[in-house]
Amino acid sequence: MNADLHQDNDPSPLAAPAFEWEYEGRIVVLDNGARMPTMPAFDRLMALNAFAVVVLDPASILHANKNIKELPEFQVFGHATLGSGEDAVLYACMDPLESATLEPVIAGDLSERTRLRRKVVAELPISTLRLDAIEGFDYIDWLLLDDRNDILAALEHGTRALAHTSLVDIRIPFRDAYAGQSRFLQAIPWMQAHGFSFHGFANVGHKSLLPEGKFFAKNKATRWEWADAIFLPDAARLAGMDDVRTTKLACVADLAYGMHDLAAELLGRLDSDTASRYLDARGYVSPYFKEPDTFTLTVANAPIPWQDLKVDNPLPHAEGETA
Amino acid sequence: MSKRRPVHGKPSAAITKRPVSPAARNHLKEAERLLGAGHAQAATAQFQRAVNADPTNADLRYKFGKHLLDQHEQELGILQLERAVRLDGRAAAPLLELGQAYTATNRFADAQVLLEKALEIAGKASQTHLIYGTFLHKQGKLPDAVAHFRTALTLMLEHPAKATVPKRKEDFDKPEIERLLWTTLSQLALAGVHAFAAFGTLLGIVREGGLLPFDKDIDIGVPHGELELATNCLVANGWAEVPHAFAVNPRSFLHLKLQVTIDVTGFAVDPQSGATYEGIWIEGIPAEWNRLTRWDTIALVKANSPDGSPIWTLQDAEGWLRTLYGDWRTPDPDFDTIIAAKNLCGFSLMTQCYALGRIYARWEAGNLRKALAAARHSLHHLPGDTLLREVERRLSEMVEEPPQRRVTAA
Repeated sequence: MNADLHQDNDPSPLAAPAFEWEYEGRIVVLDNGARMPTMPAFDRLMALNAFAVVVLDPASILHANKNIKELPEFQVFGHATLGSGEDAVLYACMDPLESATLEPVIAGDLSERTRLRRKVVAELPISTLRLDAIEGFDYIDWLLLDDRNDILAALEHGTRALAHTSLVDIRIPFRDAYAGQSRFLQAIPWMQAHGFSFHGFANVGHKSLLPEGKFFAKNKATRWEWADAIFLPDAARLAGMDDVRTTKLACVADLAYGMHDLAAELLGRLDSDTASRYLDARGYVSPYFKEPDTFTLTVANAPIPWQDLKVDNPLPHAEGETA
Repeated sequence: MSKRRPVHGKPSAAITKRPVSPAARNHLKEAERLLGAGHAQAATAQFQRAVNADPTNADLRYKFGKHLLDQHEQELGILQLERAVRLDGRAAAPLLELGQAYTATNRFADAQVLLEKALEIAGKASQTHLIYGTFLHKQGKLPDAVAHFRTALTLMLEHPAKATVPKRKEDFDKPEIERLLWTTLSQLALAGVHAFAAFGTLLGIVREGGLLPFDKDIDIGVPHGELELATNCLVANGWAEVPHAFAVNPRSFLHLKLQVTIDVTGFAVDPQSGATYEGIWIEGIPAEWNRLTRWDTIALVKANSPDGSPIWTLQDAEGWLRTLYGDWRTPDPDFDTIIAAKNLCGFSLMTQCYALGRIYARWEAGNLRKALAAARHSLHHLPGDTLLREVERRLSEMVEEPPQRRVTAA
């Protein structure tokens, strides 16, 4: 894949050279819960035509989305989710975006609007898929897991696939929104025991506690509802990854998460020049190191702010005066 | 010039005092005691109680407002002074204090009403003219500003301030401030700004091997075209631009953690003469009214700070210092770059504003040697000026008679 990629939020004040990601094949993505299409960067990522995506969409929220169906190498399987392989129940809510195979919890502090959205209107049987049983995945570059289905069951029944998975993004809830959700403190040891290390939180969902239904001059949302925990192969597994997989992992870190330091570190394992070019393209190489060792103030770089400057000649230095 | 002047109780500028209620008097005394002991916050509470006990007393409001301004509580201070002026619109001191506060926040229209009224009431007080001159200076009305500064000095000659011995602050050469200098220069260099240590900061580094102990801020220079980039970099690294600046060059920033100010001066090259200029520039006035200094070509070289981080520095730092200071190797604590720089372009209206204002301020503060030095530097440029000659003569006499050390209550 060759792609000329420019980040919209590139912090560099100077024009940075383009960086082209170069690797064979596509980046393989498995998305449980249809999270990827809701990412802000989704359109930009899809425009690269660099991904092969399989989406498991238990609540069929993408069912009517024609644009997604027309994307190349983008498959959506409605009414399906990862799990133990056993039959489960889909709690279909008033708002399909709230539907889940974990039972919604109606906590006392929920607003009336959220209660209504999360109201279960039907309980439908649904089959869960064991990750290890899905055919066609030799490896997964990027695994996305949502917080509305039984993630631990999905992981427990995917250990073979996970051994060939690069980046795992698990949405971790911090509120009891669904019964039996996986907690961060559960996910960490499990992932560590299966060859992953926690890298950091990528995105955080905030909830504002300002009164609903009122208009404010500005917004403030401080309560953490969820966060996307990023797990990477541990050091031993990273060391054993081939160049293509390493490059693809760097590419995901860069394009999907803006983790430029991680991407550069991964690229540096393969080729220090490539890593340097990448950092330059992302604006990390200071112009200081690109210019000559001397700099002279000139009309071009230090223009005077007046058109006609009429000043007296400077006075000669007075003898014997001191500073 | 932007500093607020304390309006002291000269007869013509004093507030009309109404007796303070006993309860308020007790709180006022306690506030003054706490202030003297260095407990400013506790004093604020006592001032507040005094005002609560006697809310229609203009003098209390005035004192509370002044105190709040001293504590950098600008908005609250202005509120109290506005109440004082409403309670007694004929008292010059609150008018002047509030006029200064408005001037400091660029509320020139509001300031003008008050200061013109103060001129009517206390037009024979030297301070009134000094404050009005500063007000005009900030707006770029420099010919009128010079006239009022001269009136202030003329009146000062008639009623000279009593000599006192000013405190000298000598704690700028702290290691953390020097570290901040190098870090900031490196951050700017890495952000693409060709920033270099300049003026007193450069003098300290080259001559003393560190910051000058009696300096008051960090001085750096940048190509004028990089001022905005420098601003963005500084703001991203813990600096905030000092609000209500009246000059477009230099620009001042306050380090939010260390409370240190950095002055960033833009240097610009004139396409006709090829000379480089810097100075204090106000927008919208003739260029030659500004304070300008002229330089030969300025060249920078890459270097490393003491901690090894990349920076830009002047290629010929000693030559640069010689252009500005002349004999920079010999310390002269009375040297004032604003007035006495060797490469000043004439003695512009703005330079005159600074010179006259500083002569007055130093005289008033009891810093007679510095006042005399400023007067002599000014005479160097304006040798036929009779007012300056008289000021110089008077200050010379006073300097020869050592002032009595005034003991103030702690």
